[in-house]
Amino acid sequence: MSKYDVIVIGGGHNGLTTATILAKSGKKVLVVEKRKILGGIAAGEEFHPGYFTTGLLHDTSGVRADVIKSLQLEKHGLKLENKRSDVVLLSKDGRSVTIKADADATAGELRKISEQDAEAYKAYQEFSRKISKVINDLMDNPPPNVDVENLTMASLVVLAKKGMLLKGLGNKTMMELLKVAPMCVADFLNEKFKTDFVKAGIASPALYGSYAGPWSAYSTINLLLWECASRSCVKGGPQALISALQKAATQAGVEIRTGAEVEKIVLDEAGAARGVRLKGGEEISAMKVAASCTPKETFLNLFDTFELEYELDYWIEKIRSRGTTAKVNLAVNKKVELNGQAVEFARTGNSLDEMEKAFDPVKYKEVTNSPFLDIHIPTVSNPALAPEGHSVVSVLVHQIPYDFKGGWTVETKKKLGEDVLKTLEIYSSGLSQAVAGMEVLSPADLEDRYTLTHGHIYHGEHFVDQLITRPVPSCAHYTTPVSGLYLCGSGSHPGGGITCAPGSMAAAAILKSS
Amino acid sequence: MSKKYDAIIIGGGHNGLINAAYLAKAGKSVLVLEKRHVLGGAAVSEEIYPGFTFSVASYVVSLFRPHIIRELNLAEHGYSIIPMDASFQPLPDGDIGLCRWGDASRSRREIARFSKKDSEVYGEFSKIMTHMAKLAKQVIDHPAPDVASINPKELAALLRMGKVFKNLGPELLQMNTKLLTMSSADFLDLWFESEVLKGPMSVSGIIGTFLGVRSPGTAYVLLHHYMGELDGAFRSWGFSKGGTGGVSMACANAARSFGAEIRTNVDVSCVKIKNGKATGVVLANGDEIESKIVVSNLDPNRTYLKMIGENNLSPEVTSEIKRFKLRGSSGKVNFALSGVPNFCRKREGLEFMKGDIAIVPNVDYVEKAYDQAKYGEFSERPYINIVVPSLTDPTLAPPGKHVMSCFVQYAPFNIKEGAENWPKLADKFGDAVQNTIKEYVPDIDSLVEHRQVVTPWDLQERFGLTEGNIFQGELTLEQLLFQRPISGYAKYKTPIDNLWMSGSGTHPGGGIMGSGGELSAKSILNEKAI
Repeated sequence: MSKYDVIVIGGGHNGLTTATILAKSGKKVLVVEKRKILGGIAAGEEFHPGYFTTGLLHDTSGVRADVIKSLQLEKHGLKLENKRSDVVLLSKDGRSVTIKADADATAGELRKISEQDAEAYKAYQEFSRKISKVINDLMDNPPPNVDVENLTMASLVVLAKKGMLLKGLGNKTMMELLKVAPMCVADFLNEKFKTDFVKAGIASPALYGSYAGPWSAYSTINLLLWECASRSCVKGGPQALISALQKAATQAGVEIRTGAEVEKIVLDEAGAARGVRLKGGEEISAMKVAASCTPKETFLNLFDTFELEYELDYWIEKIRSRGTTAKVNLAVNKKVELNGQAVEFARTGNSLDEMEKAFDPVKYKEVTNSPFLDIHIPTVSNPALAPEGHSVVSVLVHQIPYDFKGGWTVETKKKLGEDVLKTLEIYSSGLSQAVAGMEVLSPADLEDRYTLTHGHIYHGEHFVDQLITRPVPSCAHYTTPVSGLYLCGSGSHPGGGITCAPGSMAAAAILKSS
Repeated sequence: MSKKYDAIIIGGGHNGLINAAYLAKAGKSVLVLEKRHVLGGAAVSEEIYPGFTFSVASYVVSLFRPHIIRELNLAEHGYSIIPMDASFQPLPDGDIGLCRWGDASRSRREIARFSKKDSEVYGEFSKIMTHMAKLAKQVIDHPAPDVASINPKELAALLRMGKVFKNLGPELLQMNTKLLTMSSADFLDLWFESEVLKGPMSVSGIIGTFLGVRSPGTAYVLLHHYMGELDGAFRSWGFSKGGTGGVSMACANAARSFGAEIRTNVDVSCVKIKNGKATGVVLANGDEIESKIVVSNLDPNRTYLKMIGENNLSPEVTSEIKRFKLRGSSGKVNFALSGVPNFCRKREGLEFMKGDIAIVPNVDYVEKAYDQAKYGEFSERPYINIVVPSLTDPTLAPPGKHVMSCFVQYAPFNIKEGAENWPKLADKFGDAVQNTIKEYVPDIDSLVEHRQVVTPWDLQERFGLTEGNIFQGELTLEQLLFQRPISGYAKYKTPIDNLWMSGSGTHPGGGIMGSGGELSAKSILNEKAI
């Protein structure tokens, strides 16, 4: 008899969510985490003596409030804000505009720049609000069963309900959604908006983790998904979520082992997953295994090919997960202002053409020297993350390819750090002189540190064919062709980012099967 | 009082002529009005220089629907296609390049020179693509179902379309999703490794679009190469005897044989509209001709904004039609040559040149050509699709001489100098094409007797294709099916009663398919509009 009901591989936000839900349902659960600390990409870390980040990613606005509630994370110190954070869009000519949670307030801001943009933003938010019911229904529930051959009555009902929901939008909104969803975000925004840097700033989230420029078709659906799912955020950022999750997990009886690297998923004679073997040889048995690492890591590294069902590895290999994100953390010995104001979240981009030009070299495995940045200065709301009066500037650098032709070396990383600083200088003159320490993480570093295949922050690109049946059709419902093995990470529906959604839906699937 | 026709068709391109033929065959009185002195629209042959006949715009035939040939007896009327048996990819470094042949095993041997793995996968790839092409055919041979409707007939059509996918199984279904959404380069990467193979295969996904081979949404056009129906031959592309105009002539002859009247050099200035109904057309010279219905074969932009006019449209429809994108991206350069332009002297004979010749040495080459176009320049080193039809059809050029037709991408309509400045750049553009070809045919300069440069501006001014878009509108997903040209008016109808559409700007889109003309005519007859 195994000691554990379920072993969860990976102690990131999704792994901990799965583990905690299972434990709360009375299961005996073990979480094994490769790193010495919990949290995965949500973990805050000291990157320079005395300076801390709050996680690799910045944005927690997609976190599922219902999951937070069901795990009672608020009891464990988590504070949820029922709105997303203000984001400042920066223009290199010194202008900036704040995108606020409230559409009218944002329109008021935009009016200072352009009346047309103010109206366009209101219309855009109104459209997002209308469709958010459909989008969130998709994001909040397990994916519908699209296996036409084996349709059951129950899955037909689910499909029909989704159809009704879509029809419920009314013809005009539904047709508009069908019209704009496949469009490229540049065409979508150019139809309505006027100011270049505003368009660029609004477009940004569509391009994160998607191997796309603003001229790439289907980028609009990514933008709308983000817009609709982005509802509330965690005070203190991803690390605060991890702290609360850790407490909740421990209290629910989850056993956690850090520094425990899984080398292989152990199968029984019938080919069912029955535990894991750690590096060093220790084997731990369990009734079930849930992997929150990437699907590619799970199937291509934790199995031997011959153990996999015919063609499963073929489909897993076809998952596109070309990382295009790097991270630069700056320790700065002063308060940092961007375009003359203290801001916590900011985006650069300047124009859709400039963003497209930043993407062009990615296709040839080259690196742009003017990347667009997603900036978070966590010390604005939490000064304790740095020595008094100092700042942490956390920068997600977009359109930086994993498979850089020159390879990621000390020199190329140094160049990347310099280019990022040069870009930041435009918005914060004199910043470079105040930098006391800098950490540059190339996509290859992200792969090494977080076991992100090809450095992809979402465990696989967000793209039409990799949504819904994410990561591949035979694993789309958190179950896999390997009996007893489940997927519970960002590689599953509804995808990456700090949402806890895959983790919670995977837990439900595991409970349903036992 | 002149005669009142059952139908007047504006535009004597192949779709307009097919439409006319179907209506006339059903016993209707039909009049076709063509602005130019020749019929055919973009599917036209013209003797531009004495003795040299060019397919000025469209240059190959691949997707023409076989049932149209049958139903309209086109073969009797001169429809004759010479299949292309080869597809050649020259290389600039003096290698013998890659030629894919009608004979699949011969192609595989050629591919194996570059990659053994690719030659093995090639057959499997073709099999899957052929399978999916069969599904696609079902879609192009029916009017697009209206997803907004709850009319049981429409729901049934939707269901029928859904059933097409039923037997795929989840994996193939996902492959289908990938095919519909991915970029052609990414999609080919799932199968092949050799650039020499992927380059020329990938470009079939971008012809006529303002997209690159790495742009999502370009993969599905790969299917076109597996949808051809010319006796099941490889890729099933072919030349029309006497140039592409031959197809149009056959359609015109068929239409006439059923009693349709066709007039050239007649410029229609607008549709005559009374109480929201079309009642005929007004000509540029002020004459009016009456009819029960009018069918516009012009692109959606011209049909709505010129033939109907904003004052007859609601603001919603006007704004929707203005959203319809027609950014042209290609040009043509046609050469009259004093001899054979040999693209590979290391190969024996000229068989390898009797199909198309694609200048696209690798995937990045063509993507870089696109990058340049995105920011408003024509590509310095463009993708060129070349055919030398006089090798198979000697009637096109004087003895010993040849015509060489070059389809060139990218030539964006909206260049940064402003589209109206294209005429000033035409020569420079022609030079870029000729210089690119020179890397493969070193003696090209001495062979050129004449050169005709057709810029996207010319396509607009001469052929009436707004923004020079050869498909009468971009073939992106949001402009296909029930959204082509705009939702609510996708079934060949317009907001004006008795005004119909039949061109490539309607479902299923561009290419010389004839479907627009056919499906439109059948819808008109089904609804007993006349």
